[in-house]
Amino acid sequence: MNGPSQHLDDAIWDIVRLSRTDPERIAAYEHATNCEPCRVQLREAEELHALLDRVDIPLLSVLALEQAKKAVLARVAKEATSVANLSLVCGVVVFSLILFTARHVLRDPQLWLQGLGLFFAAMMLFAFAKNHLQWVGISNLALSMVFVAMTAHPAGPSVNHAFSCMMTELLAAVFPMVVMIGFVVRRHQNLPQSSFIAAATLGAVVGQAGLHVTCPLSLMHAHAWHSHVMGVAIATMIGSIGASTTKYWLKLTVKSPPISF
Amino acid sequence: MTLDEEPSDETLMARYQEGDSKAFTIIFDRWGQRIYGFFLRSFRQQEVANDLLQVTFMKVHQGRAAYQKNLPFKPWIFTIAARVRIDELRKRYRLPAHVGDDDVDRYEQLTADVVSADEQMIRNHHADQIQRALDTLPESQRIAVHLHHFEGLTFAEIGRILGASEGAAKLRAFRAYAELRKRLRPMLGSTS
Repeated sequence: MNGPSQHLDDAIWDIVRLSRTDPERIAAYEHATNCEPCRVQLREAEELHALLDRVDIPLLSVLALEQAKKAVLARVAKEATSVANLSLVCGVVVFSLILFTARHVLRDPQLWLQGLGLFFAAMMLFAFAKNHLQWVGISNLALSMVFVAMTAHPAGPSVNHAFSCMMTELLAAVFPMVVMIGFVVRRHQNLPQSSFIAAATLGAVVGQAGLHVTCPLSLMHAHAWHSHVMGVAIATMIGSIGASTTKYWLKLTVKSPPISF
Repeated sequence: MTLDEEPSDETLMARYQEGDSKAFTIIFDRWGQRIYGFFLRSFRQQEVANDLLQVTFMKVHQGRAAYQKNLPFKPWIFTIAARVRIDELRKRYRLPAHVGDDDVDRYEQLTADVVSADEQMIRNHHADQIQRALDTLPESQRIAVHLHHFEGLTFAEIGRILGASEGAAKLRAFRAYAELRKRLRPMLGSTS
């Protein structure tokens, strides 16, 4: 309604649904007190809405609703498993690549035991936390720190190779992230940010496990903290940045506009 | 929020984004029937409505990262449902991707004489004039009335949900109400 003297016309259908204290509704009813056609229209609109209130849409039975929910949850679980499996495969690939491309592989059985222990711990953490990936990123960082605290000796000032070790871990972190972005683009489906952070830190910790058996300085306290742990920490940051950019990747591939209100 | 208070849909969706799968189950429990009702109003076939309900929740899952935490959940989920609906209508009438609701309505009128067994059952079950009057509306008007009257959404929200302007959403709903008034006139006055 544009003014007190104008008829309500089609707006009546909306006016009668407004709250009783809404100024537009109050104005409309004031207008109708002196306007017979609008009064009739308002009454009919109220009655029509009251009639529609009598119509119930049949509900899905409790059993059918439960079955529908189970079907959806099963598909959701299957997808979570496929994302987790993809990341785990990336972890295995990263670990193998580090071993195959290393200049020398250390032969100390204790180092191998520790390295494989870290590798499996990171993989198990990811596999079991696939529905709670928000904790995986921070848990991986903690795992990396605890591992160095337990294995490295406070000896030797050397921080040599810090850059190359860190780069190895960062490349190891980027690999599963790139695979995950490929997954997002291919399936036109976004993933929570925690998935990317979890995948990046998984790659970095697996990289750290690989370095443990290939880097001659892995037991050196300063080196391990400055490059091996630092690499995981930076990977966590890269994961966060990568995760926040996925919506732009999606925009390039999704046909429909983003949903926003 | 106190301990006794139920978390809002927006909070639940934010929790689901963080990976809390239980939040998704609660969202389904809260919204399953309403989304089913939306599709049943549109397609009038229980099996189709059930299938599309599942498709919608898969899309909610797949689009969870795109949900913006500060925005209301209700229009968001109905926007997803509306896209599922238009996809189904296009598939049903073999229409190209660019056609809108008006084109769909034209095709619907061409095929309107086909009434499925499910639909017949619903009509028999709700054998009253109001339901029939609603059923005779074109699909796009029926859905506008559903979102306005039954879901209490504003025309601005309905417009965005259906990918149309607020004016277009109003027009559809007003035409529908005018048609319903015409068809149900003998019953008006008997509601008090």
